[in-house]
Amino acid sequence: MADANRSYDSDLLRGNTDSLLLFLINEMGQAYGYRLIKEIEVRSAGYFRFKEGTVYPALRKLENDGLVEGEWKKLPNGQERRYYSITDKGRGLLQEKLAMWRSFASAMALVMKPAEG
Amino acid sequence: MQAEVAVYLDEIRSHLHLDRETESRIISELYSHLQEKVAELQERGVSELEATREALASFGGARVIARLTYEAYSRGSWMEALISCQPHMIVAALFATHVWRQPVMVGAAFAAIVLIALLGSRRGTPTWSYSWMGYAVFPFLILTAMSWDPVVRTVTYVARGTGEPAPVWELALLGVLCVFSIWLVASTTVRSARRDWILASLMLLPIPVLAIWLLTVSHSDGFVVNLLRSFEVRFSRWDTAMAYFCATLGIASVLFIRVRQRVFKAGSVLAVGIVGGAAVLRSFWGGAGVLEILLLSLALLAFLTSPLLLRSIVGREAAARPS
Repeated sequence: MADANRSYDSDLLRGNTDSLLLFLINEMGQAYGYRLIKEIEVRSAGYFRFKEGTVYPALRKLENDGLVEGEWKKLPNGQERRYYSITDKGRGLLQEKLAMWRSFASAMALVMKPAEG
Repeated sequence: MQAEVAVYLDEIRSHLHLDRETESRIISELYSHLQEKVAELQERGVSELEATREALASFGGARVIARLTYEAYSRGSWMEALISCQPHMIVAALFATHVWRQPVMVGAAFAAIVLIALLGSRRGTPTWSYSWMGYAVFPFLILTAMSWDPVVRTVTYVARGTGEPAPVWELALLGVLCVFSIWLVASTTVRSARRDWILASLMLLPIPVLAIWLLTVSHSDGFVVNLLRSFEVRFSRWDTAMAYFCATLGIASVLFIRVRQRVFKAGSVLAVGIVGGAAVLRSFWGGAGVLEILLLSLALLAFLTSPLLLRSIVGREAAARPS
């Protein structure tokens, strides 16, 4: 059953990874790779699971496109961690994607609701 | 935990083909992730060994992660692409305007190329610098080709007893120049191949055609030094072909910088190097048949892919570095 609940087109998730990351980074202010993966897992109740290593190339692409900014920070234990924050350009794109997603989701719901009578 | 993670991260690093500093940052970020995941699993009561295995399994295959990471990092900006194609365009302009017969202009152009290649080398050898490095070794090859006159004079004197032998200091200087030129080309190629054989191929791209052109024009009129002084118009018949060839290399280097996938990067270098090289060399020799063109193309393929073999022989930089 769990498998059936988790079955979705992996391309669908891949195509929306950027939006998920942008949304979470925007909401969390600053976030690092591992924290983002945990957050996606928790918020989707374990529905969204992808190979954790793939989040870093995705973050790098967002950084290349000027949508997020990365910054190394030193932790109390001496280790370094890279934190990402959203840029103005990223925020603008996120608003566009959210609006698009809401319209799309409501249109899908309207079409796919069971026929009355 | 440390050993398994180190082996895993080393495998990722060995397939990244990026500059050392970028690779270190990437590996550091991935290591930090794995460490946190293992610590979290251990807090839940999982043994260290199991936690490490689970963390690595959920992270994904090393090669897949390396490929995705390479594609995310390997695409340069348009500015980098523009800088990368400049040496090809400079040399194309030298041919298109027939200025290559003016030693001062050629000297100034190559001095600028060597300077920018050195600057790139000091800045961690970014991808754009490889096309500059390819031309930067060429002045030393030209100097070596130009300096064969004393050797020929001495050999003629020893063999036939005619003429005068070159002074010992001149021969010694030539020996030093030869050794230095060979060392320069070999060490630059090995260093580039250790990072990525495709980058070494990009660097070597202009060398076979320019070297054969140099030999062809030298053969046509004795020594290059005489040729450069003579301003012979008849050699300009290859200038158009050479200008087009160098400009095509410029386009290939732009493609190389802008595409993400390795297969397309390698494809752009090999296609232009082989097809363009064979076409321009055919124009030198004229009347070459299908078999000759085929053999020439195979020789160019072998030359341009030689860094791949070199890399497997000399190993990789990362293997010699601590993780």
